[in-house]
Amino acid sequence: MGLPFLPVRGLIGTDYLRIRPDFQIIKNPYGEDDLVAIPAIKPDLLLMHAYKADRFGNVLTDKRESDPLLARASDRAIATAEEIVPHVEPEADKIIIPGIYIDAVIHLPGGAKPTACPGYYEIQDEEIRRYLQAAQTPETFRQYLEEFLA
Amino acid sequence: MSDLAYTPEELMAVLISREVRDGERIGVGTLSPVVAAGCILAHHTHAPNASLAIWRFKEYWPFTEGMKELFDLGQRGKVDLFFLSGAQIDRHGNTNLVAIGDYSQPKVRLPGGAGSATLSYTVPRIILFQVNHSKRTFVEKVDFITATNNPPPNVYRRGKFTKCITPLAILNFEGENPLLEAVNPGVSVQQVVENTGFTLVIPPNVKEAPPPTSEELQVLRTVVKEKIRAVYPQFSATAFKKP
Repeated sequence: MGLPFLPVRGLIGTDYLRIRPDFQIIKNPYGEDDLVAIPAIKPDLLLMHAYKADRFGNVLTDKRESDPLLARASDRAIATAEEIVPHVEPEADKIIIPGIYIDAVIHLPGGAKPTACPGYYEIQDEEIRRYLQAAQTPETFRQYLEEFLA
Repeated sequence: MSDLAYTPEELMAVLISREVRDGERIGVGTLSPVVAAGCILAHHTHAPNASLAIWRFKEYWPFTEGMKELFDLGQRGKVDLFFLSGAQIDRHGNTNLVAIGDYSQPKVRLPGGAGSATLSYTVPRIILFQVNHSKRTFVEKVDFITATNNPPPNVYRRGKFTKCITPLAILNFEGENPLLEAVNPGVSVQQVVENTGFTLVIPPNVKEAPPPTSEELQVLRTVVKEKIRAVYPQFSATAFKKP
């Protein structure tokens, strides 16, 4: 949206306002209640994984995810995709992010592993358990990363 | 074991389903398989006209703009019922999903709240749930208020948190002091008191929640189990008994 902040209803009375001094209570100029001004999050870069992408930067993703919003909020957006197709077409339960929001696409089958990419592969429970175990200490995690990237 | 034996998850799903009213618009957030099960059960029994928005469920997620749309719908006053949990819940009904211990040096960093601090203001009916009823979860005071049950005046707020559903009981937070609204079937008042870290008002003759019916369990173990499997495969494999 390119705006500096949005007014939000909620948060007042919670500890969020204690840890986020940048969240400011403002008067509703058109009503009686107090609102919270939340500054915009402006990511420098979005990295997302898509089902399909084409050479125009159009990408097909799951309609349940917030990827379209992230693409519109981020300064630059890179999408990896299971498949590169000549033209991304609409599909049931999926949504197209127009290429105008995407700066680069990369063909990367398996890019969501060890999590799931519905229709392509399931979550890898065993690998997630191994990851959780490895993430307990910096040493075991470093070792995990080395093995994972090998 | 009798035919009506059930798991704690099945019991909670049934208790949750009974809170759902036909025709309501209901939001269910992340990591809430037992609530998803309860709402889908209601949809297949007494609330066929309920409109469900259950995060990650293809069949029950009407939105194309992500979680934002559920929050927007709530802001427009169009969500009737929402469920919230907390790793800690205190005597006022405040919940904590941010950190155990001091926020800057947490003993445990929790996932954080999204609906906790927003939908809790815009949705008129909020029901709390906690799958683990213990002194660790029900505390005198939460370490971090993620959702408050007592916002200051001059703030838009549509309702109080009404009750909390657990494997042991239904606690009520509507009054000044937390009240034991009902014990679950076969659970004693003593058991609830021993597992709650704050003092409960115990009315005389506390009622016992009616146990799940065979119809509720049947639907839960067939249709609901199958639908839950797509999003929460591990929960689906362990939470339900065989039909």
